[in-house]
Amino acid sequence: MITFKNVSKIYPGQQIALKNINLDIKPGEFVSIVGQSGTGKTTLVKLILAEERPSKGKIVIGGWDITGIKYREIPTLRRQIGVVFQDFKLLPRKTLYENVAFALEVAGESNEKISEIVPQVLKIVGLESKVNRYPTQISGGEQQRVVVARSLAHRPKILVADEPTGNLDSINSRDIIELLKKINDFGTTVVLVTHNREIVNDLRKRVITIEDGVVVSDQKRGKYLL
Amino acid sequence: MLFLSLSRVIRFSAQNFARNIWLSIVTITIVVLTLFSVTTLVFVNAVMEQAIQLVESKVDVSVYFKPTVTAEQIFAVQTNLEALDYVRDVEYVSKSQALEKLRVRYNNSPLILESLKELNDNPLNDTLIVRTHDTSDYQKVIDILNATPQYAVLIENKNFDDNQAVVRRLERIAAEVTGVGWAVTIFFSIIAILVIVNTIRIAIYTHRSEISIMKLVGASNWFVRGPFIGEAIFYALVGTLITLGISYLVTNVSDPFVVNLLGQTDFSLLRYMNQNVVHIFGIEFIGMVFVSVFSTSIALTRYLRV
Repeated sequence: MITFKNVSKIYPGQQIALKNINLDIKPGEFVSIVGQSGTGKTTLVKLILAEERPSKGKIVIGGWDITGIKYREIPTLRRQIGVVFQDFKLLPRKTLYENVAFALEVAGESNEKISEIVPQVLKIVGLESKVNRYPTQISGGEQQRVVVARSLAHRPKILVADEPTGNLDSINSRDIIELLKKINDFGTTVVLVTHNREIVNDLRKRVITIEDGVVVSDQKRGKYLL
Repeated sequence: MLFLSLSRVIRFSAQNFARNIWLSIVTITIVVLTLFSVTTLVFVNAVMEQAIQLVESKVDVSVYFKPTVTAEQIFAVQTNLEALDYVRDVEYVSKSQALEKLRVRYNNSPLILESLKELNDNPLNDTLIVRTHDTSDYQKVIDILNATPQYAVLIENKNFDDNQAVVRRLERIAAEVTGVGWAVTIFFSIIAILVIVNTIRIAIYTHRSEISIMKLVGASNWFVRGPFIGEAIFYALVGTLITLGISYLVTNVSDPFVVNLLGQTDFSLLRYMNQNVVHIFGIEFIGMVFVSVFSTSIALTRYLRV
């Protein structure tokens, strides 16, 4: 599903963010990518979303070699990947309903389909009663649940969650992880980037540890090592 | 698919416009101020043009003939002058008509009227009053009259030189007024463009994170750009309509003053506006759309590379 072959990312000024990364994430897997701040976890997410291009190596997503992806092809790639960010990234001028609908609208989904899917996914995350509120009118935990709903809306095969619990308290964090597990149970490949030891240890799923831009460990049922 | 996307872009534009109402109001205010300045300049130019035409129409070359010259000889000169392309008209004023005009003109001056009575004969001469299409052509008329010997023997007196000075001065004033008008228009337009471009840049800067979010959930550049461009077109449309309303109001109030000022011409500012409303405001709207869309596209480009 996601393959990195000898991928390196070097930023201007010879700043090495990732060095010779080799990864192979299978369909339906739940993988945690852990590491301390500044080790290259977010760069890895940016490479998956084609926000950045590798300096060396090859990246294949769902059989699509995105190493030299054309600028105009990027929206098509992103419509196939659900993304959850630490800082939520909700559109402030749109209601919760509109935020979720937006992900479908950009993909050209019909209005009928949108009005069928959006209430469903908002129900999954437990926000069906707040559809007409704006992001500023709900809590951080709720905002993150909206983001999860948005990432689910177009039924992606891959969901990338970059520090999704970073701005949440422990109760809300647990809720979000439970949601991700539920999504994974439906067959979606989940890539969770985190430095939350407790969450990683509780999951008992595959753990890839990155340190200074290098994969130092890849365990099938791993624990937070650092 | 295209229609669906277009209808969504229009809906998002309207939503952005309404939900960001304060920024919309500020931008529209600047659009209105800009357009109103341009409209005012258009009207001032129109009034100025009329005023110049009015003054120009007062300028002429008067040719006074010797008392011995017959009417046929004068008509022959008139016919020759009328044949020149740059001559608008040549008016024959007989000496009795000239005396009558003088009496009417100085009706309130008993001294002049008394003096006229004292004279036994009519002291005035038969006259041809020559008017050209352009004030710069008076010199050509003067040159012809000076250079043709058969005219020179018939003409007793001419006020060419005085008129020449007036005409030259008038031409200089007209050229300066037109030049200043253009300079002011260009100056205002540059300021307007800079203000609009910066207002839109600020508006887009405040939405830069929103733009990156749209891109990250898979929006194409056109889908991100569309609502902002739509919003810019809304600004231009609403701004133009408000300017139109204000201009009508101001024109209604100022029209009596303008009519009074240019009393001898058949010019009304309100009529001028009615006749040119589509032309003036159409061009202003298109210009504003062009400036808004151009500056929106430029300002957006920086934030679209996500």
